Amino acid sequence: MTEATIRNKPGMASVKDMPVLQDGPPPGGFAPVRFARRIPNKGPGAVAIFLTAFGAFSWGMYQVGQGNKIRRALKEEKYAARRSILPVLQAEEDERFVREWHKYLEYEAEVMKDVPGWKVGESVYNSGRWVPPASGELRPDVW
Amino acid sequence: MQMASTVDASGNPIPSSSVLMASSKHIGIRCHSENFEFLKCKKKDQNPEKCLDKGRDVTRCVLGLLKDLHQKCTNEMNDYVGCMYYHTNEFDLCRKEQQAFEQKCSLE
Repeated sequence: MTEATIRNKPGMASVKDMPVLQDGPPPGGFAPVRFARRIPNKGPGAVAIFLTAFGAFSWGMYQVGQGNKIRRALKEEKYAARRSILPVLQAEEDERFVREWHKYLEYEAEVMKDVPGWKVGESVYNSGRWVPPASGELRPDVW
Repeated sequence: MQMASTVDASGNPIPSSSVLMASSKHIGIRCHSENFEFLKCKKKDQNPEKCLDKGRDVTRCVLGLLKDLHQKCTNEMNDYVGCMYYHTNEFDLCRKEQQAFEQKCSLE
């Protein structure tokens, strides 16, 4: 009954003659809507992209080389310092070694004094070079 | 950054690693001939007893040089040696102190 009062058309004979109440487009229709793809085909070409990548890579490798140069210079500085102080340290160690070696030779002479034909401190090698002593610990006080 | 002083009781610099590394450039230049003679002797014969005299030359040169450097620029040397001690002889971490030391103490 309420539909008939809402959608009333003056002069209708029955409920079946009621006008249709729908949501529809405005008169003249809606404005046209573009839905087609428009992906532009401009921008850098393949050669340009390749050259850019190659350029970035080359610049990066150049920077690597520069960094290596700097690091090598730092290492050279450290090695040069070690080379300069090597003789002092070796000379100090030589003094200490000679003192200990003479003490050891005295001990050897004491122990082997009754052995005929024993040369104290004689080298056990035949090459003629001086070889550091290999008999046990070098510095028993340290170990 | 406190450590034992650069000098011992009688005012001589102790040849510790940081002191030697700090003065390495000066040693390399001023004691070059003594070092080279010692190394030549070692190359000929490795026996320590044969190169003792040249070794004593080297030690005398270096210890004298350390004392000289310490007397001429005490503060700069102490700072540089302290920085070296703190950074375990990394030259790159002590550039400022190194510059000051080399400015003051006879740029080689």
